[in-house]
Amino acid sequence: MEKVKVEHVSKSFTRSDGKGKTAVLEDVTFTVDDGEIASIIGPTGCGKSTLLRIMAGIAPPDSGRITVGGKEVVSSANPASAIVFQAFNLFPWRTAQKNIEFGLEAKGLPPAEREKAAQHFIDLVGLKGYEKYHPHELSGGMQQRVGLARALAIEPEVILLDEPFSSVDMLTRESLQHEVLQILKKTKKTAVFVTHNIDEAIFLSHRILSLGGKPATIKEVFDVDLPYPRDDGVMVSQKALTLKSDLKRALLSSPQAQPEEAGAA
Amino acid sequence: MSMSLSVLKNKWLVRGYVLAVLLPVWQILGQSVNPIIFATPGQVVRTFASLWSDGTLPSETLITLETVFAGFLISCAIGIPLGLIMGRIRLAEYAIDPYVNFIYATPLVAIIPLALIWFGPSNTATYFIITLHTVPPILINTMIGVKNTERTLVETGRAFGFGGWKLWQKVVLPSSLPFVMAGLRIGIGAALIGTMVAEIFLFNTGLGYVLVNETAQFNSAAVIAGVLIIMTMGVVFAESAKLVDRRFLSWARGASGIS
Repeated sequence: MEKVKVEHVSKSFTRSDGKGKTAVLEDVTFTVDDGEIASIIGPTGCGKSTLLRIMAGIAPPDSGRITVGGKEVVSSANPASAIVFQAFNLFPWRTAQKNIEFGLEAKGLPPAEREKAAQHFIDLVGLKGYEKYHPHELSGGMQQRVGLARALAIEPEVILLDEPFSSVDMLTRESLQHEVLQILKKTKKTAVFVTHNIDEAIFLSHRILSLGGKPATIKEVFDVDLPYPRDDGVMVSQKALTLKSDLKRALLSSPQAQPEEAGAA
Repeated sequence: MSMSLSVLKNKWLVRGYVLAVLLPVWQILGQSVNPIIFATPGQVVRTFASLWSDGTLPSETLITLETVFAGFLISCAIGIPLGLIMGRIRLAEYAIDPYVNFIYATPLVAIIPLALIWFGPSNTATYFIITLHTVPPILINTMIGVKNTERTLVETGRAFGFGGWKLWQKVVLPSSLPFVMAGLRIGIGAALIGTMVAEIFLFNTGLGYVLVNETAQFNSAAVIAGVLIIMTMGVVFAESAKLVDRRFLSWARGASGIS
């Protein structure tokens, strides 16, 4: 059962000097099944984040269409998807709890229901006791838990994660990856990760799509035929290592992408 | 040696010592010149007490306070909405911004003659002068606050389903609040300056009237007493603004380093 359908999506940006356009994405087509965890992998600046923003409805595609849960994405009003950002993008004036309630306010939920829902996700991501803390009082890892809870709280059809672990230190990253994976499995969420980290993509995903070229398009699709949980044993199995070298080859064969235009990252 | 050093680390002790030196110096200096020109601390205290108990200082202080606050509120009512609009609509910024800068760059006393011609010595003239000096810092800071709203946060607000005015209310306004508050902090000081300029040079009321009237009688003790009240006002305004900042905007210090 398809949860997300991306069909023939193309996008270009007007160059900063105003002369002409740079094509970023061209004819991107793929689907994500219900409950599937997919990763889009590609070199920095290849247009991965742009693709995610289009899927979230924040940026309109030039052509093509996106459907999430059977409904076409035309804007980010009443979003069917929720984003977890690389730089967390928490609202610094809100406490952890109020950040998590943010999307529920947009949905028009009454305060009591917002609080109840927020508490559920605070417990789920392990932030109990930190409800009243402001983002600057929390570590990077904890801030990203808030970001994750904020996204989960609106009960989205799909959760979009834009390099969610690249702003935290390495040790935090590993434990956070484990926990996020557990939470996604527990909530049976459909998820799309964007990453440039091969190990991370293998660790998390059912399927990996490599994005590359200029303008970028889906180059290859890799099924990750490995059992969960992906502990150290699984990650160094012959299958995993073969996949890793295949992915590396796919990434390296992609011509070095130019940095994205300002406003596209 | 070590003891005297540790004493010097306590800022209130240091301040106390400096005052303990300054007051006698002032007293001796005052006694050595004509007391009509330079009243001693003792004379100031006595004059202050008598002017306070006969009701002159309390009533005039109240008039000045009322003027400062009314002028400040009028300036907020003009400066904040206009600043928000200018932060949002570039056309409005381009159209209005230069004039705000012109006004703010003009020394306030230079406007007094015009205010006199237009409004005569009146409350209208007083509020004209105050708002002219108080609106610009409030307006400029508000505008900067709006323009400094992080694009990524606006986008996040949009991604979670907010748009239009709601997006403003939930993201842009709270994000600009530290800047607006900085504008208000400068604004309340500006309102005090405007009030004093107007009360002394334009329409003699309040503490400005006390200063002008007592100066005409060469009563330097009363003039100093009046100035002390004005100083205290300035300090209390500034400290209250800091307190409000610390209480409600602690997130801003941690988040973006705005002081």
